[in-house]
Amino acid sequence: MEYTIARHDKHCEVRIQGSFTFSDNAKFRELLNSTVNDTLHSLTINLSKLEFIDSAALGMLLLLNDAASQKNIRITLAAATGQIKKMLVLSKFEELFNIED
Amino acid sequence: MAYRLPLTSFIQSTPNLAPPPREVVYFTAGCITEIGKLFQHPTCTTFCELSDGLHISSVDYASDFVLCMSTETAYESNLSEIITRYAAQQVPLSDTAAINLRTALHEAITNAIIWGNLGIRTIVDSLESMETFYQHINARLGSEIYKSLPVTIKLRFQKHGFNVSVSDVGKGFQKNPGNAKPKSLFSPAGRGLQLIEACTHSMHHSDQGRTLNMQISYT
Repeated sequence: MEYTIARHDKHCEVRIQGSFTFSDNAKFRELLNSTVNDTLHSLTINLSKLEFIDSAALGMLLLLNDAASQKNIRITLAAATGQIKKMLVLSKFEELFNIED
Repeated sequence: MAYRLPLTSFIQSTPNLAPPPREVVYFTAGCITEIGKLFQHPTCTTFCELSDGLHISSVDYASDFVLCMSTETAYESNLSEIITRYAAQQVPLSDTAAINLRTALHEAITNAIIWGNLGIRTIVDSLESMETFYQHINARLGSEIYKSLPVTIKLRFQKHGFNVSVSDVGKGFQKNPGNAKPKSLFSPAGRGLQLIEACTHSMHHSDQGRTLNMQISYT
């Protein structure tokens, strides 16, 4: 998994690409520490370049959501397609996150 | 660079189902038997040891196959993508079927590694427990015993779909797959079997929970 972070004042957009799986835990912690802070209001995770996600990575997104919620940061999952979109639907993530096409 | 050895070399070097050497791929022609009988299977024609990555397509073979490797190699390899790409070369596979095969395989292999062979029991429900979870995994992967335990994947091409099985040598999964759901929608763990269930036509455990058998449609 690779990612880039773009900051726009109190909003942050993260673009993830490649595969996001259980072995990406260290990068996930790095991503979380780089984005979730007291100055942020909203975080968009752009999934358009992500090709594969597994259950462990879905769990990491939930942990990210928990951490963000504690700081009143709103998370949006954007532009998911293919396998990613299917996994978000199967996991009923629309009940947990803002989902944008 | 891949190279081949005759199957007899493997039998002689690994009697009594000892854990296989690292990075081993072998294939059977025709009927796939139980792993315990595989080494004596008369139609098992190819034994291939790959020392530089796993490239199934480099082996000129188009049939059912068995792929067996150490837990360490399985952990480090992108097996589900490799196998799905190989399968798509053998049969017409819809995008949905490719997604289902790769997802189900990935989750099953991960379960075989983590919960099966490495025997991890830590439940991830927070960032702190996630750290502990991965510390346990790394500790077990540092053990010669744990990292050498075999993971076996069988893929059989049927008329309308695949029969896939993933086996480990751990203590065995006891939970009923029909109840395979996370504790709650917000639970970060326990989602793997639920995804497998959604991506397969059917699934069931055998060998006292050490083997997960899945049927996946081509369409």
